[in-house]
Amino acid sequence: MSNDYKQKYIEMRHKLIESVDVAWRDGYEQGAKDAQMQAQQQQMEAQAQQAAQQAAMMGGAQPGQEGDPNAQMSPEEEQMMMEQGGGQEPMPGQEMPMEGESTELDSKLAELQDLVSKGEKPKVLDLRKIVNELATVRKSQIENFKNKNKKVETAQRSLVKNILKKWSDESKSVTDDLEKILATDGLKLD
Amino acid sequence: MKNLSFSALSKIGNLIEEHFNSLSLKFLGMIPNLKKPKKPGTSISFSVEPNSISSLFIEALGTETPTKPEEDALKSLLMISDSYVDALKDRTKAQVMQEISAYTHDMGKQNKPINMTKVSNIFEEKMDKAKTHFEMIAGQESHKAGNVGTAMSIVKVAENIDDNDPTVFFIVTQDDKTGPYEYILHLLPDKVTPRLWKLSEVTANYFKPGDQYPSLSGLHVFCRCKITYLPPNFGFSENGHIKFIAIGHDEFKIQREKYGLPSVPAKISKKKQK
Repeated sequence: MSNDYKQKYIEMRHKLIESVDVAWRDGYEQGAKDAQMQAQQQQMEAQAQQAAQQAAMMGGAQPGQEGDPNAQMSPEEEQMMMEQGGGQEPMPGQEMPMEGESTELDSKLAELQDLVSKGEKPKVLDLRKIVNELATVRKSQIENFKNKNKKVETAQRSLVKNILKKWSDESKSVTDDLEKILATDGLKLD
Repeated sequence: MKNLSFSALSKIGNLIEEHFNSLSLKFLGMIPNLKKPKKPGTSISFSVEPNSISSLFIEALGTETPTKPEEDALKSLLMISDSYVDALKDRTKAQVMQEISAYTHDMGKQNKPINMTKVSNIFEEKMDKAKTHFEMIAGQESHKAGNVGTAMSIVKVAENIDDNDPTVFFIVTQDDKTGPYEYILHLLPDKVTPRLWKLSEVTANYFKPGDQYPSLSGLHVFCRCKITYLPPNFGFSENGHIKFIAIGHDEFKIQREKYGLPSVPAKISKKKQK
């Protein structure tokens, strides 16, 4: 599988927008009554946007169906997503996933794609689970890099220390051998 | 009068040679005949010793099965390190043989016995100097091996996201051993935010004061700065940690526009260093 992370990010983001909208709707239904009218208007607008978006994107659920999402994420929701996936603030030295580690990430993305391609509205809990798993994958990759950097630094220090120890240990026997050479050469020693 | 025989002198030379060869083997971490492979066209197989240049490079690379270019890079590193150790070996051998030969000659002329303590002192003095030099080679070359391995792993990661000239920076350990050039080439004037470079700008040559670009070999002997990658869309927080900023964010471009290339003096006075 090619590792086009940018494309995958864009696709995943679209799908997440949908899922966040589901959560938003659920929250709204349990929300205050005085916001009901306003929310309905937003939902109507969202349905229109979603209809166009879905037709273009994946031919999934139709406008008006249950779970029909709003196409926009609020700044708070975007922030939440960042905190879960890409908005962490790692230490210097932490990088993007290595080749090979992408397999796990690919499987999570495929899982997400599979849910959506079935034409069913993914449950909020399912999506949350996948987002959390993705965040876990990212965290573990960050941790791997951190560990690798530490290992390289420790290995470098250990290399210099060991080689100097070897030098000291072996130079003692060289001094002894030197004395033997001079003694066997017939020189008069003190 | 009896002088030190040629045979004895050769044996002293061999002693030093064996000492260096044993260290070199441990230091490089593999036993290849780089110049003469057994069968032309076949790749040289080798086993990697722990705590060696080879193991360090493999560790930094993040894979135990290097590609041909990575293997070539490792061989180049080993050849260069080996050449430095070889040069030190030859020089030390010549100096020890010269001084012991001269001493025994002088004692012979005066018909005096050879003082073994004096001989040992001559030997130890030369070997101590060589040890200091060897420590510098070990520190410098191992640092380079780690950074070259990391740089090659950065290229791999960047290629996966179509980043053809990855943005990199150096992680600086700030203490009393931090050199003045690290504050210029590895950090921004705030002394906190890492200064960004394109990997193509980072040289593999040894750094000389006044050089405009940083080096994978470090900026001074015992330099501890480690190269690392800044992925697209990322930048730095106020405390200099990597942080996701936004899609399309180009921290390198912003830094370069704001700060340009640093002015690197060929000499920095001790007062300024403080």
